[in-house]
Amino acid sequence: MLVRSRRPSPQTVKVLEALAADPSAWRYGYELGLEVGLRSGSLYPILVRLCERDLLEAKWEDGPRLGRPRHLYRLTSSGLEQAATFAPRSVPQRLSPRRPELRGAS
Amino acid sequence: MLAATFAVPATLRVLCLGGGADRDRAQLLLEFAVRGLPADRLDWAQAMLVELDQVEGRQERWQFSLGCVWAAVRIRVRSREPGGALLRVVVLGCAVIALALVGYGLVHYPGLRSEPNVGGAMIVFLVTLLTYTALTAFLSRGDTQRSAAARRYGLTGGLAVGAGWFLGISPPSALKGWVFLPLLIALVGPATVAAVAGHRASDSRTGTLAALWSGLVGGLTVFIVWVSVTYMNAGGPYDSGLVSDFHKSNAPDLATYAVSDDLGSGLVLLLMIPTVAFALGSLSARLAAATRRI
Repeated sequence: MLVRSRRPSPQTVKVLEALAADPSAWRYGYELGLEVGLRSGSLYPILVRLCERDLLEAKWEDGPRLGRPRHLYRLTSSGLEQAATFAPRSVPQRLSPRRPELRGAS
Repeated sequence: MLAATFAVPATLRVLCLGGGADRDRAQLLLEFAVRGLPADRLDWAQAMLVELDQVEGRQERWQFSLGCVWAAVRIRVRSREPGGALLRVVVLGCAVIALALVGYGLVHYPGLRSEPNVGGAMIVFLVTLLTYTALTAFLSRGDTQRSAAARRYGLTGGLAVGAGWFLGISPPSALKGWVFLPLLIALVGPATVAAVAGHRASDSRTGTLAALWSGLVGGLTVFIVWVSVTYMNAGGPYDSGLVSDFHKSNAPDLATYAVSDDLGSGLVLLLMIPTVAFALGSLSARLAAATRRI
Protein backbone atom coordinates (compact mmCIF):
# COMPACT_ATOMS: atom_id res chain seq x y z
CA MET A 1 0.00 0.00 0.00
CA LEU A 2 1.30 3.41 -0.89
CA VAL A 3 1.76 5.59 2.18
CA ARG A 4 1.80 9.32 1.52
CA SER A 5 3.40 11.49 4.12
CA ARG A 6 1.30 14.54 5.07
CA ARG A 7 2.56 17.84 3.78
CA PRO A 8 4.28 19.70 6.62
CA SER A 9 3.16 23.19 7.66
CA PRO A 10 4.71 26.21 5.87
CA GLN A 11 6.70 26.97 9.05
CA THR A 12 8.09 23.43 9.13
CA VAL A 13 9.03 23.70 5.44
CA LYS A 14 10.92 26.92 6.23
CA VAL A 15 12.89 25.11 8.94
CA LEU A 16 13.59 22.17 6.61
CA GLU A 17 14.72 24.60 3.89
CA ALA A 18 17.10 26.41 6.20
CA LEU A 19 18.62 23.21 7.57
CA ALA A 20 18.87 21.61 4.13
CA ALA A 21 20.76 24.59 2.70
CA ASP A 22 23.88 23.35 4.49
CA PRO A 23 23.01 19.84 5.66
CA SER A 24 26.34 19.01 7.21
CA ALA A 25 26.37 22.02 9.54
CA TRP A 26 25.10 21.84 13.09
CA ARG A 27 22.82 24.80 13.87
CA TYR A 28 21.83 26.68 17.01
CA GLY A 29 18.14 27.16 17.82
CA TYR A 30 18.21 30.93 18.34
CA GLU A 31 20.09 31.69 15.11
CA LEU A 32 17.89 29.24 13.19
CA GLY A 33 14.78 31.03 14.46
CA LEU A 34 16.17 34.41 13.37
CA GLU A 35 17.07 33.02 9.94
CA VAL A 36 13.64 31.57 9.21
CA GLY A 37 11.73 34.36 10.96
CA LEU A 38 10.05 32.09 13.50
CA ARG A 39 9.61 32.97 17.15
CA SER A 40 10.70 30.50 19.80
CA GLY A 41 7.06 29.57 20.52
CA SER A 42 6.70 28.17 17.01
CA LEU A 43 10.26 26.98 16.41
CA TYR A 44 10.76 24.63 19.37
CA PRO A 45 7.57 22.58 18.94
CA ILE A 46 8.61 22.11 15.28
CA LEU A 47 12.11 20.99 16.28
CA VAL A 48 10.67 18.58 18.87
CA ARG A 49 8.29 17.12 16.29
CA LEU A 50 11.05 16.72 13.68
CA CYS A 51 13.21 14.95 16.26
CA GLU A 52 10.34 12.62 17.22
CA ARG A 53 9.98 11.65 13.56
CA ASP A 54 13.73 11.07 13.21
CA LEU A 55 13.99 13.85 10.66
CA LEU A 56 16.29 15.88 12.87
CA GLU A 57 19.21 14.95 15.07
CA ALA A 58 20.14 16.95 18.14
CA LYS A 59 23.23 16.96 20.31
CA TRP A 60 24.89 19.09 22.95
CA GLU A 61 27.84 21.24 21.97
CA ASP A 62 31.27 19.95 23.03
CA GLY A 63 33.33 22.32 25.18
CA PRO A 64 31.95 25.72 24.15
CA ARG A 65 34.33 28.66 24.19
CA LEU A 66 31.93 30.74 26.25
CA GLY A 67 29.10 29.85 28.60
CA ARG A 68 27.06 26.67 28.83
CA PRO A 69 26.95 24.06 26.04
CA ARG A 70 24.16 24.75 23.54
CA HIS A 71 21.83 22.37 21.76
CA LEU A 72 22.70 21.75 18.11
CA TYR A 73 20.53 20.51 15.27
CA ARG A 74 20.87 19.16 11.76
CA LEU A 75 18.78 17.03 9.43
CA THR A 76 19.08 13.26 9.29
CA SER A 77 19.06 11.44 5.96
CA SER A 78 15.28 11.06 6.26
CA GLY A 79 15.02 14.75 7.06
CA LEU A 80 17.01 15.61 3.98
CA GLU A 81 14.72 13.40 1.90
CA GLN A 82 11.75 15.21 3.38
CA ALA A 83 13.36 18.55 2.56
CA ALA A 84 14.06 17.37 -1.00
CA THR A 85 10.38 16.44 -1.35
CA PHE A 86 8.79 19.54 0.12
CA ALA A 87 11.48 22.20 -0.37
CA PRO A 88 13.51 20.90 -3.36
CA ARG A 89 15.14 24.25 -4.22
CA SER A 90 16.82 24.41 -0.82
CA VAL A 91 18.69 21.09 -1.12
CA PRO A 92 22.10 21.56 -2.77
CA GLN A 93 22.27 19.75 -6.12
CA ARG A 94 25.60 18.13 -5.30
CA LEU A 95 24.04 16.35 -2.34
CA SER A 96 21.73 13.46 -2.93
CA PRO A 97 18.96 12.91 -0.37
CA ARG A 98 21.02 10.03 0.95
CA ARG A 99 23.86 12.06 2.31
CA PRO A 100 27.03 10.06 1.67
CA GLU A 101 29.19 11.67 4.29
CA LEU A 102 28.92 14.53 6.68
CA ARG A 103 31.43 17.15 7.48
CA GLY A 104 32.51 17.65 11.07
CA ALA A 105 30.33 19.39 13.60
CA SER A 106 29.83 23.16 13.26
CA MET B 1 -9.04 38.53 48.96
CA LEU B 2 -7.29 35.21 49.47
CA ALA B 3 -5.90 35.32 45.95
CA ALA B 4 -4.62 38.82 46.63
CA THR B 5 -3.08 37.64 49.90
CA PHE B 6 -1.31 34.56 48.59
CA ALA B 7 -1.28 34.20 44.82
CA VAL B 8 -0.35 37.76 43.82
CA PRO B 9 2.68 38.05 46.14
CA ALA B 10 3.86 34.58 45.06
CA THR B 11 3.61 35.55 41.39
CA LEU B 12 5.42 38.81 42.05
CA ARG B 13 8.15 36.93 43.88
CA VAL B 14 8.61 34.67 40.85
CA LEU B 15 8.80 37.67 38.55
CA CYS B 16 10.98 39.81 40.79
CA LEU B 17 13.54 37.38 42.19
CA GLY B 18 17.11 37.90 41.17
CA GLY B 19 17.73 41.48 42.13
CA GLY B 20 15.38 43.03 39.62
CA ALA B 21 17.47 42.63 36.48
CA ASP B 22 15.30 42.07 33.39
CA ARG B 23 17.65 39.34 32.25
CA ASP B 24 16.94 37.35 35.40
CA ARG B 25 13.20 37.89 35.29
CA ALA B 26 12.91 36.52 31.76
CA GLN B 27 15.08 33.59 32.78
CA LEU B 28 13.12 32.96 35.97
CA LEU B 29 9.82 32.96 34.12
CA LEU B 30 11.16 30.39 31.68
CA GLU B 31 12.70 28.27 34.46
CA PHE B 32 9.32 28.30 36.21
CA ALA B 33 7.45 27.34 33.03
CA VAL B 34 9.68 24.43 32.00
CA ARG B 35 9.34 22.79 35.42
CA GLY B 36 6.13 21.18 34.19
CA LEU B 37 7.84 19.39 31.30
CA PRO B 38 8.11 15.60 31.54
CA ALA B 39 11.42 13.82 32.14
CA ASP B 40 11.87 12.91 28.47
CA ARG B 41 11.61 16.58 27.49
CA LEU B 42 14.13 17.98 29.97
CA ASP B 43 16.77 18.31 27.24
CA TRP B 44 14.45 20.67 25.41
CA ALA B 45 13.84 22.64 28.59
CA GLN B 46 17.59 23.02 29.06
CA ALA B 47 18.09 23.84 25.37
CA MET B 48 15.62 26.76 25.56
CA LEU B 49 17.16 28.05 28.79
CA VAL B 50 20.67 27.98 27.34
CA GLU B 51 19.56 29.71 24.14
CA LEU B 52 18.07 32.51 26.23
CA ASP B 53 21.62 33.25 27.41
CA GLN B 54 22.44 34.24 23.82
CA VAL B 55 19.62 36.74 23.45
CA GLU B 56 20.56 40.37 24.01
CA GLY B 57 18.22 43.25 24.75
CA ARG B 58 15.36 43.50 27.21
CA GLN B 59 12.52 43.27 24.71
CA GLU B 60 14.13 40.46 22.72
CA ARG B 61 14.78 38.45 25.87
CA TRP B 62 11.19 38.80 27.01
CA GLN B 63 9.91 37.85 23.54
CA PHE B 64 12.14 34.79 23.43
CA SER B 65 11.24 33.77 26.98
CA LEU B 66 7.48 34.17 26.46
CA GLY B 67 7.74 32.26 23.19
CA CYS B 68 9.52 29.43 24.99
CA VAL B 69 6.82 29.42 27.69
CA TRP B 70 4.23 28.94 24.95
CA ALA B 71 6.44 26.25 23.38
CA ALA B 72 6.66 24.48 26.76
CA VAL B 73 2.85 24.47 27.03
CA ARG B 74 2.53 23.02 23.52
CA ILE B 75 5.25 20.41 24.15
CA ARG B 76 3.61 19.45 27.47
CA VAL B 77 0.14 19.06 26.00
CA ARG B 78 1.45 16.90 23.15
CA SER B 79 3.46 14.72 25.53
CA ARG B 80 2.40 11.11 25.80
CA GLU B 81 4.09 10.64 29.17
CA PRO B 82 2.25 7.95 31.16
CA GLY B 83 0.61 8.36 34.55
CA GLY B 84 -2.17 10.46 36.03
CA ALA B 85 -5.07 8.96 34.07
CA LEU B 86 -7.16 8.35 37.22
CA LEU B 87 -6.73 11.94 38.38
CA ARG B 88 -7.65 13.30 34.95
CA VAL B 89 -10.74 11.08 34.85
CA VAL B 90 -11.81 12.24 38.34
CA VAL B 91 -11.29 15.96 37.61
CA LEU B 92 -12.90 15.79 34.17
CA GLY B 93 -15.77 13.64 35.53
CA CYS B 94 -16.39 16.09 38.39
CA ALA B 95 -16.28 19.05 35.98
CA VAL B 96 -18.87 17.38 33.72
CA ILE B 97 -21.11 16.58 36.71
CA ALA B 98 -20.79 20.18 37.97
CA LEU B 99 -21.73 21.48 34.53
CA ALA B 100 -24.69 19.08 34.33
CA LEU B 101 -25.90 20.16 37.78
CA VAL B 102 -25.86 23.84 36.83
CA GLY B 103 -27.61 22.98 33.55
CA TYR B 104 -30.27 21.08 35.50
CA GLY B 105 -30.81 24.09 37.77
CA LEU B 106 -31.26 26.46 34.82
CA VAL B 107 -33.86 24.12 33.31
CA HIS B 108 -35.69 23.17 36.53
CA TYR B 109 -35.75 26.73 37.92
CA PRO B 110 -36.31 28.88 34.82
CA GLY B 111 -36.40 32.00 36.97
CA LEU B 112 -32.64 31.61 37.46
CA ARG B 113 -32.08 32.58 33.82
CA SER B 114 -33.54 36.04 34.37
CA GLU B 115 -31.57 36.68 37.57
CA PRO B 116 -29.28 39.71 37.43
CA ASN B 117 -25.59 38.82 36.86
CA VAL B 118 -26.39 35.27 35.71
CA GLY B 119 -24.31 35.81 32.53
CA GLY B 120 -21.27 36.97 34.49
CA ALA B 121 -21.60 34.12 36.98
CA MET B 122 -21.83 31.58 34.15
CA ILE B 123 -18.69 32.98 32.52
CA VAL B 124 -16.78 32.78 35.82
CA PHE B 125 -18.07 29.23 36.36
CA LEU B 126 -17.10 28.02 32.87
CA VAL B 127 -13.67 29.69 32.98
CA THR B 128 -13.05 28.11 36.40
CA LEU B 129 -13.95 24.62 35.15
CA LEU B 130 -11.82 25.12 32.04
CA THR B 131 -8.86 26.31 34.13
CA TYR B 132 -9.10 23.35 36.50
CA THR B 133 -9.27 20.77 33.70
CA ALA B 134 -6.46 22.52 31.76
CA LEU B 135 -4.23 22.56 34.85
CA THR B 136 -4.89 18.87 35.37
CA ALA B 137 -4.22 18.03 31.72
CA PHE B 138 -0.98 20.06 31.80
CA LEU B 139 0.50 18.98 35.14
CA SER B 140 -0.90 15.54 35.99
CA ARG B 141 1.32 13.34 33.80
CA GLY B 142 4.49 11.69 35.05
CA ASP B 143 5.46 8.21 36.17
CA THR B 144 8.07 9.13 38.77
CA GLN B 145 7.49 8.04 42.35
CA ARG B 146 7.13 11.66 43.43
CA SER B 147 4.50 12.61 40.87
CA ALA B 148 2.58 9.41 41.65
CA ALA B 149 2.77 10.19 45.39
CA ALA B 150 1.54 13.76 44.79
CA ARG B 151 -1.44 12.45 42.84
CA ARG B 152 -2.22 9.74 45.41
CA TYR B 153 -2.12 12.11 48.39
CA GLY B 154 -3.91 14.85 46.47
CA LEU B 155 -6.73 12.62 45.32
CA THR B 156 -7.18 11.15 48.80
CA GLY B 157 -7.18 14.60 50.41
CA GLY B 158 -9.59 16.03 47.86
CA LEU B 159 -12.06 13.17 48.20
CA ALA B 160 -11.81 13.43 52.00
CA VAL B 161 -12.74 17.11 51.77
CA GLY B 162 -15.76 16.23 49.60
CA ALA B 163 -16.76 13.40 51.97
CA GLY B 164 -16.44 15.75 54.96
CA TRP B 165 -18.86 18.20 53.34
CA PHE B 166 -21.24 15.40 52.43
CA LEU B 167 -21.32 14.16 56.04
CA GLY B 168 -21.57 17.70 57.35
CA ILE B 169 -24.44 19.09 55.26
CA SER B 170 -26.46 16.19 53.88
CA PRO B 171 -29.55 15.20 55.89
CA PRO B 172 -29.86 13.24 58.10
CA SER B 173 -26.46 14.25 59.33
CA ALA B 174 -24.65 12.59 62.17
CA LEU B 175 -22.51 15.71 62.38
CA LYS B 176 -25.36 18.23 62.30
CA GLY B 177 -24.14 20.21 65.26
CA TRP B 178 -20.61 20.53 63.95
CA VAL B 179 -21.30 23.39 61.60
CA PHE B 180 -17.67 24.40 61.19
CA LEU B 181 -16.36 20.88 60.61
CA PRO B 182 -16.68 20.92 56.79
CA LEU B 183 -14.93 24.29 56.58
CA LEU B 184 -12.22 23.07 58.90
CA ILE B 185 -11.70 19.95 56.78
CA ALA B 186 -11.53 22.08 53.61
CA LEU B 187 -8.89 24.34 55.15
CA VAL B 188 -6.80 21.86 57.12
CA GLY B 189 -7.19 18.74 54.93
CA PRO B 190 -5.17 19.82 51.87
CA ALA B 191 -2.54 21.52 54.05
CA THR B 192 -2.10 18.30 56.05
CA VAL B 193 -1.94 16.18 52.90
CA ALA B 194 0.67 18.55 51.41
CA ALA B 195 2.74 18.48 54.59
CA VAL B 196 2.71 14.66 54.74
CA ALA B 197 3.55 14.34 51.02
CA GLY B 198 6.31 16.97 51.25
CA HIS B 199 7.76 15.40 54.38
CA ARG B 200 7.77 11.85 53.03
CA ALA B 201 9.27 12.86 49.70
CA SER B 202 11.66 15.42 51.28
CA ASP B 203 10.59 17.62 48.42
CA SER B 204 8.32 20.65 48.62
CA ARG B 205 7.26 20.31 44.96
CA THR B 206 5.63 16.95 45.68
CA GLY B 207 3.72 18.50 48.58
CA THR B 208 2.73 21.56 46.56
CA LEU B 209 1.40 19.36 43.76
CA ALA B 210 -0.49 17.25 46.31
CA ALA B 211 -2.02 20.47 47.67
CA LEU B 212 -3.04 21.51 44.16
CA TRP B 213 -4.68 18.17 43.40
CA SER B 214 -6.45 18.00 46.76
CA GLY B 215 -7.67 21.58 46.28
CA LEU B 216 -9.00 20.95 42.77
CA VAL B 217 -10.66 17.64 43.62
CA GLY B 218 -11.91 19.03 46.95
CA GLY B 219 -13.34 22.18 45.36
CA LEU B 220 -15.15 20.24 42.66
CA THR B 221 -16.55 17.55 44.98
CA VAL B 222 -17.70 20.15 47.51
CA PHE B 223 -19.46 22.05 44.72
CA ILE B 224 -21.20 18.85 43.60
CA VAL B 225 -22.27 17.94 47.15
CA TRP B 226 -23.39 21.49 47.92
CA VAL B 227 -25.48 21.91 44.75
CA SER B 228 -26.97 18.39 44.99
CA VAL B 229 -28.12 18.99 48.58
CA THR B 230 -29.51 22.38 47.50
CA TYR B 231 -31.64 20.75 44.78
CA MET B 232 -32.79 17.96 47.15
CA ASN B 233 -34.11 20.58 49.59
CA ALA B 234 -35.20 23.10 46.93
CA GLY B 235 -32.81 25.58 48.52
CA GLY B 236 -34.27 24.99 52.03
CA PRO B 237 -34.43 25.17 54.95
CA TYR B 238 -35.58 28.77 54.65
CA ASP B 239 -34.70 31.02 57.55
CA SER B 240 -36.35 34.36 58.30
CA GLY B 241 -33.43 36.33 56.83
CA LEU B 242 -33.75 34.48 53.52
CA VAL B 243 -37.54 35.03 53.41
CA SER B 244 -37.07 38.72 54.17
CA ASP B 245 -34.44 39.08 51.42
CA PHE B 246 -36.69 37.22 48.99
CA HIS B 247 -39.45 39.82 49.43
CA LYS B 248 -36.99 42.55 48.41
CA SER B 249 -35.85 40.60 45.33
CA ASN B 250 -37.43 40.15 41.90
CA ALA B 251 -37.26 36.34 42.11
CA PRO B 252 -40.48 34.58 40.98
CA ASP B 253 -40.63 32.26 44.02
CA LEU B 254 -38.81 31.48 47.25
CA ALA B 255 -37.27 28.21 45.99
CA THR B 256 -35.75 29.93 42.95
CA TYR B 257 -34.37 32.68 45.15
CA ALA B 258 -32.88 30.18 47.64
CA VAL B 259 -31.38 28.00 44.89
CA SER B 260 -29.88 31.08 43.22
CA ASP B 261 -28.38 32.11 46.56
CA ASP B 262 -26.93 28.64 47.12
CA LEU B 263 -25.51 28.42 43.58
CA GLY B 264 -23.70 31.69 44.25
CA SER B 265 -22.26 30.23 47.47
CA GLY B 266 -21.30 27.07 45.57
CA LEU B 267 -19.37 29.13 43.04
CA VAL B 268 -17.51 30.91 45.85
CA LEU B 269 -16.60 27.51 47.36
CA LEU B 270 -15.48 26.25 43.95
CA LEU B 271 -13.09 29.20 43.70
CA MET B 272 -12.08 29.48 47.34
CA ILE B 273 -11.28 25.89 48.29
CA PRO B 274 -8.59 25.28 45.62
CA THR B 275 -7.07 28.74 46.21
CA VAL B 276 -6.83 28.30 49.98
CA ALA B 277 -5.73 24.66 49.63
CA PHE B 278 -2.94 25.63 47.24
CA ALA B 279 -1.80 28.60 49.31
CA LEU B 280 -1.78 26.82 52.69
CA GLY B 281 -0.61 23.54 51.15
CA SER B 282 2.42 25.06 49.42
CA LEU B 283 3.40 26.74 52.65
CA SER B 284 3.02 23.60 54.75
CA ALA B 285 4.82 21.50 52.09
CA ARG B 286 7.81 23.86 52.17
CA LEU B 287 7.90 23.75 55.96
CA ALA B 288 7.57 19.96 56.05
CA ALA B 289 10.28 19.43 53.42
CA ALA B 290 12.57 21.85 55.26
CA THR B 291 12.09 20.09 58.62
CA ARG B 292 12.85 16.75 56.96
CA ARG B 293 16.14 18.09 55.60
CA ILE B 294 17.23 19.56 58.95
